[in-house]
Amino acid sequence: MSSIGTFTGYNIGKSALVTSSNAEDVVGNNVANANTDGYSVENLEIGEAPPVELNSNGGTWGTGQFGTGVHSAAITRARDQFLDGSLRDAYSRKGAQDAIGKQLGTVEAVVNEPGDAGINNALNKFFDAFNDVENNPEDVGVRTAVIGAGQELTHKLRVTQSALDSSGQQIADQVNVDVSEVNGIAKQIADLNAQIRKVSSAHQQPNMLLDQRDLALDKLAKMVNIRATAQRDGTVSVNIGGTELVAGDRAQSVKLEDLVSRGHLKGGTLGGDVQALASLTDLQNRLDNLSNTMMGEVNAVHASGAGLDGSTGLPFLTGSGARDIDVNENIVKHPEKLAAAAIPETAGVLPAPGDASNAVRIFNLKDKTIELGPLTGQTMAHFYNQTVTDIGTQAAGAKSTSDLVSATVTQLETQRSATSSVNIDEEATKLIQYQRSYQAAAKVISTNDEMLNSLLGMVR
Amino acid sequence: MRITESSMIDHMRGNVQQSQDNYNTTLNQLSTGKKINQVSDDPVAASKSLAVRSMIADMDHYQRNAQAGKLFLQYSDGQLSSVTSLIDQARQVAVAAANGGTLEDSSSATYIGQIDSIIQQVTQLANSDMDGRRIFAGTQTKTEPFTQDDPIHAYHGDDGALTSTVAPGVNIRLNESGQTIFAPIFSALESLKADIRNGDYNSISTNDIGAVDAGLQGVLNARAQIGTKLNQISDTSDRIQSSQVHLQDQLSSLEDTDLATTYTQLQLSQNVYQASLASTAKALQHSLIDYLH
Repeated sequence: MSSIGTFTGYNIGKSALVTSSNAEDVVGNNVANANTDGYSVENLEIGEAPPVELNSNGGTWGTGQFGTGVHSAAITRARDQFLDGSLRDAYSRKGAQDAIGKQLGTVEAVVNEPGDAGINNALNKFFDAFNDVENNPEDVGVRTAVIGAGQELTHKLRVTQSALDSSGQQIADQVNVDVSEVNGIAKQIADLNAQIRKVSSAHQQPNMLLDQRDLALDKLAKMVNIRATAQRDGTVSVNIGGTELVAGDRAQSVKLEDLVSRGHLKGGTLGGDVQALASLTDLQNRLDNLSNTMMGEVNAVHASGAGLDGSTGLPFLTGSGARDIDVNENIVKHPEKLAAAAIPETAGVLPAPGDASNAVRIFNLKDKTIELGPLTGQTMAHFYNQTVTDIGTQAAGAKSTSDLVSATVTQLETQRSATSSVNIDEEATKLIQYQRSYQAAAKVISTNDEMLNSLLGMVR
Repeated sequence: MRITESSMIDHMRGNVQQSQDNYNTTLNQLSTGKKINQVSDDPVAASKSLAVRSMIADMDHYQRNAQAGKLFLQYSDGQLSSVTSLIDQARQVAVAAANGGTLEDSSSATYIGQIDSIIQQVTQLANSDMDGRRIFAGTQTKTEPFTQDDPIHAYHGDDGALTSTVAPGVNIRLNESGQTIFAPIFSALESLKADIRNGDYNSISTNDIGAVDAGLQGVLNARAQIGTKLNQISDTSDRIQSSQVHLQDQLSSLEDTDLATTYTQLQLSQNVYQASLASTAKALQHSLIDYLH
């Protein structure tokens, strides 16, 4: 008769004790990490111990396999790789829109429209002031008012442009920090790849390392659009829109210029910041275009008129763009040089002091449809309003898209959490379950012991 | 679905933030009285509001011009009305002189004195100024168009126009030409004076009375034109005023918070915010652990 050994019962009991105890440890670890970022709930996979074969020759129990207990097969983590991919896409999109919304929000605060303090209002007042000259061209006070309105407008253009300069600088600095952080995270992922490959090759589950790598990939996805592909050796390779970032244990240091020139940068806070920077540069260029057109138009008419003192050919505005546009210093010092009048037909004669015809011509530029350059087909005020509206529309678009993507992110995070997060009630249930198993296993051992005692008592 | 503590907490945090944000937005709209504080709050409305603001500024500006133009015209009319009564006096002198037949030297001297005084006063009126602007000198507003005691009454102004822009593209000439109005008057008065001095009564009744009447007619014509322009300005400025009201309404509906609706929204968002705070405070107070002993 081939039978199982006398002490097998002890061993089965012992395996149950050990396994239950292991399971309690896994539960303990889950509870401990319930609030750990990126932690995936772990589960002890419990397997049957290999059975022994029983012979049937004369045995009373017949033929069969006899179980020898239990063992801990593996500790696995609950994770859905497909959800991770979708969620990272959503993170990239949300990151981009949030960044655009945030940066353009700052730009909007600088532009400060619609309101009485904006450029729109100053532009109106500037041209209207030229028309006010018509009511009293002889009066130096009216001329001073025109110069004042000119100074207010040019001051607003300069202040706006320089505030936008510093906003742009802040975004550019942020972008540089972000690029080095992307490269830092890439390095971290490559290191984790190497460790994971080593552990996996020893047929172990590197759960903590995987969690860390997933967390790093999430963080990276928030900054830039990435695609992470799992490889057979346990590593993931990462690329940004086609530019390789991580392959195995190597991280490629990426440069912003390359990503931009290849058109690979499409999402994440980095992508959003770069896009916001482009919008901001466009806005600044348009303010320059407005300033230069205004200088061209106003100066051409102003130079073709004459001041009270007969001076002619003077530009009213000076500068080379929105950064340095200003009222001609000479006219500020000598308001009588403001060319409100037409040049007298007789040479050497001072213009009539009541002649405001040139000032009215400058005023009429307000509603002139510009025929040259970037403002072609628009009046200056239309162009400015269009420019401001464009920025507002982009900011509003970013905000509403972000709201939309936020809903997707929340949805996916809920799903991921449903798979991977720790539920305390569930762990508490397992705690009781394994406690009971442990108690039962102890009972098996003590019963076995009693049985053996009875046997030994027989022979005494 | 398997719900976990962390996802519940995330949700609650997100919801509290959202309701706080809504509450803050409505509160902002009420405290500023504006529903558009930035272009991105409503780009379409903001773009319209920028255009409407420009138009309102334009209208205000045209109203100011109309006001200034009106004052100028009314003042000119007042001065010309005085000229009218002076010419009437000159005509009475002329009629009296013509009917007087053989005049005593003394009465002829009285008539001449009266005419001289009228010439002096008309010259003063022709030199009228408004805030330092000569109103009958064309654009030579700093020059007296006529000099007192100048027997030929030479005109020192020009025929330039003083204008006012009272509506888009509507540029009204305000000043009447001093030359056209006053030259015939001066010449009629001078000739009357000479005929009285020379005792040429025939010429007074055949030429001078007619010339004085023609001068009067010239003034009346100018005043009629001023009247027409005043009407034109009034009409334009009435029209602008009504479009100002309309534009203000439009701006208000674009930018201003609708108090009734927003206040209701505030109540609602406040309730939601309070409810989300209350439910968050109550949540996660229990777990299975509480019941294990």
